Amino acid sequence: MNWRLLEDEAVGPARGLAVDDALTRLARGDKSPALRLYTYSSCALIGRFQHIADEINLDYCGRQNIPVNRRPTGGGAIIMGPDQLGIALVIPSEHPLATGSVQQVMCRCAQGVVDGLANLGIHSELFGKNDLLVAERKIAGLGLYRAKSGGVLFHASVLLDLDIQYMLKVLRTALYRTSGTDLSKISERICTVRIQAGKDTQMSDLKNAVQAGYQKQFGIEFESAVLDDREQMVCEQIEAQQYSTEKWIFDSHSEVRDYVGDSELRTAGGTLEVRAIVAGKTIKSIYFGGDFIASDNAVLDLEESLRWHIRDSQRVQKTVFDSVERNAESWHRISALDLTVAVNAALERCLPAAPQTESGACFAREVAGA
Amino acid sequence: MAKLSDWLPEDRLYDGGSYLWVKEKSEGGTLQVGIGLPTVESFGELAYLSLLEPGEKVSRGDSIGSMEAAKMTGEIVSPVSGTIVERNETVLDNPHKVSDDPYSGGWLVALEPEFWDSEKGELHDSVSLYELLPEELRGNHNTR
Repeated sequence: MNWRLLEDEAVGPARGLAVDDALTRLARGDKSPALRLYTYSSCALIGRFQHIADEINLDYCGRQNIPVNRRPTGGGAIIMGPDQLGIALVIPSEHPLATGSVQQVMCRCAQGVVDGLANLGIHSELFGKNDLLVAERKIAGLGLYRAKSGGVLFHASVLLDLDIQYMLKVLRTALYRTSGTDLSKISERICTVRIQAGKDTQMSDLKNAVQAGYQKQFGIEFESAVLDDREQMVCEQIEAQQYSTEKWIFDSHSEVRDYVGDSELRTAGGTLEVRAIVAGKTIKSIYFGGDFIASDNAVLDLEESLRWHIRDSQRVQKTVFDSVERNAESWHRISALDLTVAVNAALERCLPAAPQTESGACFAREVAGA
Repeated sequence: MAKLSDWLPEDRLYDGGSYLWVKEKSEGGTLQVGIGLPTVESFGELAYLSLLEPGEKVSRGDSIGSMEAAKMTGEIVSPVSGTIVERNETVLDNPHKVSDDPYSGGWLVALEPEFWDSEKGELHDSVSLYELLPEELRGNHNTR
């Protein structure tokens, strides 16, 4: 059976999210999977449970008329616009692609993107929970969501290009706060299609490559499609009743707040700077900076090992020691104990993220149907 | 080889789609609902959780909340119809509790059932759920 291919350009965030959601809610029975390739009008999107004021400069977005919204998928805040490709793969509940462990579903869905990038000569690989990396630099963020229908939504945002200075104005997320305005430090962690495949690469090239990637990976053909009548009705309903409401965008966050803590430790191998972000008893992320010498791979392995880790000093110590043992030659004169001390010190200092003068009032509202 | 009864306790029933468990707190009384180990192991550690408030009425198949785990975000789908009479505030403050203690302290909500006599026939005991699970989720458990 052919898969459906839906395309959109410069769609507003409420509409864009509602289309994906409607497709997923109705993805049942013998429907074929649907691949949606689209770009948003410039906007900022946060993960399902994030506190918006912690993640986004709402004042700036308000002044610049940049709409903000909340995804049904997890993960961190992102900017979307003409240079970021949104990919949504919707898989009906009973389709073989939706079965098995979550990790298996994620790997299958991501493989179409990996093959698509390979069509542009870019070798990428799935890393950790939800990142697609090229030479240890992030080129795409991924997410999975299972609706109550059992339908699965795979989301990816692929960077064709990225204006880092603009991103720093819009987002307040931890990595960017850690690195301040040092663009080189941020650039070291991010990759784009244009860096890899040439500055003349167009969004249409990327879309075609991803479409071909899914065709090859799953041995299917696509037929161009639009929402059917039922999908259109549900889409309009949830755009109005969910994705355009302040309740969803501003208030549907976790009851658990994020806390941020920093530490600095002088070691024989240089100064180690750590930023920890925790939510309750969960470590959301740990970022390492400073002037020490270590392979990017070793740092990434440790950061990933500590993501979504329980906030427990003894279990942190074991995880750090295991990671350092896996990358024994990669840390120059920095011991597992140094790393443990620095991480646990950052965790102990975790305080609420800096408050912002935020309120729903500065939210740049979308005009329905605009 | 681990005992199946430690992984899927025999004192409760399971939904065949979501693998949520349902346990009678007392005969004819309220039901406790929670997330089973097949889901916990597949989704990874839970970091965020939301649950409907007491007083909300749900049908079997309705969402009673949502969660973000290490590998996936998803709706929590009620295995039974009824009215929520209590939600576990401990897991809302510390969702890790669901991963650490899914069958006891990590319960999610308590419901006053509406159609328990008929709906329990649609649920599975631990052995029949195990047989229903995809191979990749079964792990290595002894069914005896």
